[in-house]
Amino acid sequence: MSGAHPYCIVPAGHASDPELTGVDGRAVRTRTVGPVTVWYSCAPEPSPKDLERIRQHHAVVQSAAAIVTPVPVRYGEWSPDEEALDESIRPRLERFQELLTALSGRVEYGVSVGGGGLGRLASSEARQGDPSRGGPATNELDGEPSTGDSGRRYLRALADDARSRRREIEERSVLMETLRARLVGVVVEERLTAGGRGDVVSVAHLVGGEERERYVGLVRDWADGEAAGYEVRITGPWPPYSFTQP
Amino acid sequence: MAEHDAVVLGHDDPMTLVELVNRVVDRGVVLRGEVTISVADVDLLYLGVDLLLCSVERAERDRAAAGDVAAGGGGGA
Repeated sequence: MSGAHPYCIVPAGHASDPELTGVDGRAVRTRTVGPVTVWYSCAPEPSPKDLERIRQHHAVVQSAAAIVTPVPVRYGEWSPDEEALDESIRPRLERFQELLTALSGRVEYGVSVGGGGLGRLASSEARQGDPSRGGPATNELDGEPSTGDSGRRYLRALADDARSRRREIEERSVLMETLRARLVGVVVEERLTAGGRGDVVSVAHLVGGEERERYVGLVRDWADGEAAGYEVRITGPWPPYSFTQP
Repeated sequence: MAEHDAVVLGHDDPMTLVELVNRVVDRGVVLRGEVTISVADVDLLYLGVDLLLCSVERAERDRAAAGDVAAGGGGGA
């Protein structure tokens, strides 16, 4: 016994495929604690930098999701033995039951919007400049040698920059409202998430399993409609990783 | 999960890997409070946000190679 690496929690009685393997090719086992069953492998403490193990962890959660909606356990959880694993679960049984009920039959999708659209808009507006204030702002932003009052030009460039940031924030919230309007009645819950570098919007949506096709179609319509010109990425269906915290 | 409505990008797409790491490492239930801190260390968080996820091993190799170059008198930044 080298410790217990848990993958997910499912309603009691949902066994894993005996052939299923997890991190480092180790067999996936199950233990039942009261009304829940935990899928785990006997494995040493997780390595912090092992992408392959992260993928293997996810693959087991996906396997569970093919049978029943699991509550995914965050990668990095580890107990020194199976009894300790039981003890880590026991105090949260009520919470896990609530989650299993709330998430049952639902999947997660991610929608991310790259910054390209917002950046293009802001820079095109900056390039248009404001004639009433003495010409285009491009010179200041591009760092070209100024021939006039450089202090005033510098402050004007800072003000332009602040204005374009405010516009981006407003534009982002308008964009999200258009997405929410499209998805009324389809999305059960929304969470803001950390996207990749350059993403201006990144959200996770919890969607009923029977609504998956409709959801993807609606987001694609939005990407081609209100969000045309932006780089929109949809990922999923994922097990509901983003909906396990209060 | 059915294939017909799966919209995950290519398996090796860096953005998909970021989405994967963000979910698997940062989310999901926590059983033992602080345990993830020992795993989600600076390197992983850095990888998660900075798209250097084509392969951790490759990043490690690149870093080692860069170290070799520096150690070999290449100098540079």
